Amino acid sequence: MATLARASGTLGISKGPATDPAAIAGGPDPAITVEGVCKTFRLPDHRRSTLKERAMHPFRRIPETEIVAARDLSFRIERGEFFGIVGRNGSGKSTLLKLLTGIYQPDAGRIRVVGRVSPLIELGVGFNHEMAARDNMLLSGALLGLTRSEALRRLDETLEFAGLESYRELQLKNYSSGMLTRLAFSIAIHVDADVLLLDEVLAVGDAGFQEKCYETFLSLKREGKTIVLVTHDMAAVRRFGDRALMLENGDILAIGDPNLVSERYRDTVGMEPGEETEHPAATNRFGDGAADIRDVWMEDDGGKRARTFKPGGQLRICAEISFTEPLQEPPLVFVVRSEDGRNVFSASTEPAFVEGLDFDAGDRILVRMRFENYLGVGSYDVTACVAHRDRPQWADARRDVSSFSIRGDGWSGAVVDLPHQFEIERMGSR
Amino acid sequence: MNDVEPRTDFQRAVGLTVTLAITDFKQRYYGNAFGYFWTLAKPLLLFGVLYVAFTVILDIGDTVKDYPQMIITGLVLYNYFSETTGQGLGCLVGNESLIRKVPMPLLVLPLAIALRSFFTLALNLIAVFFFLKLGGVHATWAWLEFPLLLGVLLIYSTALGAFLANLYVPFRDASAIWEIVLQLLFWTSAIIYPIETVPQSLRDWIMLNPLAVIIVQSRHVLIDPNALSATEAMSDPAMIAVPIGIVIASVVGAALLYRRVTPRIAEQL
Repeated sequence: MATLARASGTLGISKGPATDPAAIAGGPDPAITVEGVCKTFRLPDHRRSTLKERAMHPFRRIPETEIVAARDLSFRIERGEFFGIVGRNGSGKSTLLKLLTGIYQPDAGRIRVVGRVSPLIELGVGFNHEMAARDNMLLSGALLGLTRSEALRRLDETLEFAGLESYRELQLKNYSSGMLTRLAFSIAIHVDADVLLLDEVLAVGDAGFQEKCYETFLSLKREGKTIVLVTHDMAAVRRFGDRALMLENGDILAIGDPNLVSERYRDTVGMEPGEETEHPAATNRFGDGAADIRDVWMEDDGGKRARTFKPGGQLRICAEISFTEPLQEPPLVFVVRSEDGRNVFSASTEPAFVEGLDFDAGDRILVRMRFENYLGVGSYDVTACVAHRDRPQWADARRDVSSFSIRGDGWSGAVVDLPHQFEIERMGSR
Repeated sequence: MNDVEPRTDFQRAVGLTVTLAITDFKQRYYGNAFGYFWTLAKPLLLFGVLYVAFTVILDIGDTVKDYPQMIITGLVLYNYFSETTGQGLGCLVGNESLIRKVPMPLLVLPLAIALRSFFTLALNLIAVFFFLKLGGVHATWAWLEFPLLLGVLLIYSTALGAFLANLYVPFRDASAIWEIVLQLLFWTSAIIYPIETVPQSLRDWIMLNPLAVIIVQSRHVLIDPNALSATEAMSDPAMIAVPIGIVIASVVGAALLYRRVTPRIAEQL
């Protein structure tokens, strides 16, 4: 018989510190303990959905399909850990998260979660679009376990974080999708939970929003919060994860160091385009093969190949390209992306390509693109592309094919350090 | 900011219920100048129709003391019952996306509907007391019994609504069936006819229904002390045990259900 710590009462939003002495004492208890948890879904091949149908054919058996979503899972997540759960679609990772939140009950086994939980299965659940942001924030707060006064106290801070201070009384139906996402995320991280359970939240929103999410995760982590993230994004798991777990058909295939789990993920799943935001390049490659970007590297002012540079000066992105089909004036594109995946700088030969520079099959070229190095301290990836002039199609495109970093003192915290000068004039005095 | 007080699960559930009910109530009448008018419109309109039908056309009303007051009281109480159970029925299926994505005690959903309907009932009762005043009905000590009757009505309707919500998950024709049952209950709950006009044999059947008991007794305590009380309407006062038993059974049943079965039912949504 299943025993679930959370279900000890009929009303179980989450276990508060008051009901768990260990949480107050800050004892050695892990934040989450999972012991022998099993969960199987039996889905009837078709649903008998009316009383009439049941009455007409009382003994008809409907064949069922059995799906094992969790097969005797046991693991612990320590306090303050950033824990990634990865696996391909249908591997059981979302079910596991729903078991952890208490939305699903295990068929067998025990789950114990210490501290207040903020589940974020989907952004903006429970939003009522007919109502103002303010009312929705109170409602969402209540869903996440806050009282009205606690939710009221958080209004300003939450709106400020989302950058929506002036839209407090606006009905949500007038919000853009980006605004909705920011509001929902902001609500979720402002409930002061000890444990955050997140499902693919980063799949939504633009790059700027994603970066804000990452920053928030880091600061929450610094505050000692436990964060569990279900994701496809191995890069995020490697960057933030203390540990990771990989599921496959409801089994734990690997658990531990994010890099090792990530390797395992790569071996098992292979990489699916668009799901992996890091190198290595092999599968981060698109195009019809009319061109072949054989190598991409970085050089300093003096033409010396390197991977680490000082701030300032000039840098060169170099590429060796061969052609397997004749191409006329193919646009060449280099993109420099920051570590978090934002495009910092993009350079294309279009429309300034040297006229008449056409290539035949078998031609090989060396491309050098020189630029002023205004990049701030940090790591960068280089994407190189060769396109067809006459149609929107890549001849070859290699995402994040090379990487380099800028190291030096005087970190400004900015992605670029543009040349600038101050002008200060006295306007007189009183 | 970390000012979240340690709180029991029960307190959290209560907070959530209240917030859901207020939000829902606000939404219905949000920015609507006639908000209060609309809450009253339904019972008042029905009252008007029935009143005209039975006093002007059928000429029954004149023979019954305080007939309009009796109808409006019964209607408002019935309205609460039908709203709470009818909407309670859909509360699990209708909140599927919420249930699948936010962990919460599911009992909160029918409770919030019951509370929201109660806001409407409270507003309607203001109109009822206005009518009583208009009809020259005076407050008596017996009125003190009315809150108790209201309490029973609240608990019974909520439990029934919560129970029906479970039934509706596997049986999607339950809503059509319940609509018919509500119709039946409307005509058998002594709302538009005084209970004393019903032959005793039929009366005993009617008085098995807790809703009828509440309505008959409300008339007795609020409007006309000379009208039959619930137990007087029965051939044997001990029969009151049956409607009381039904109320208790529905409450216990709903509580057990939400403890054991409902969380799993929610997975089938």
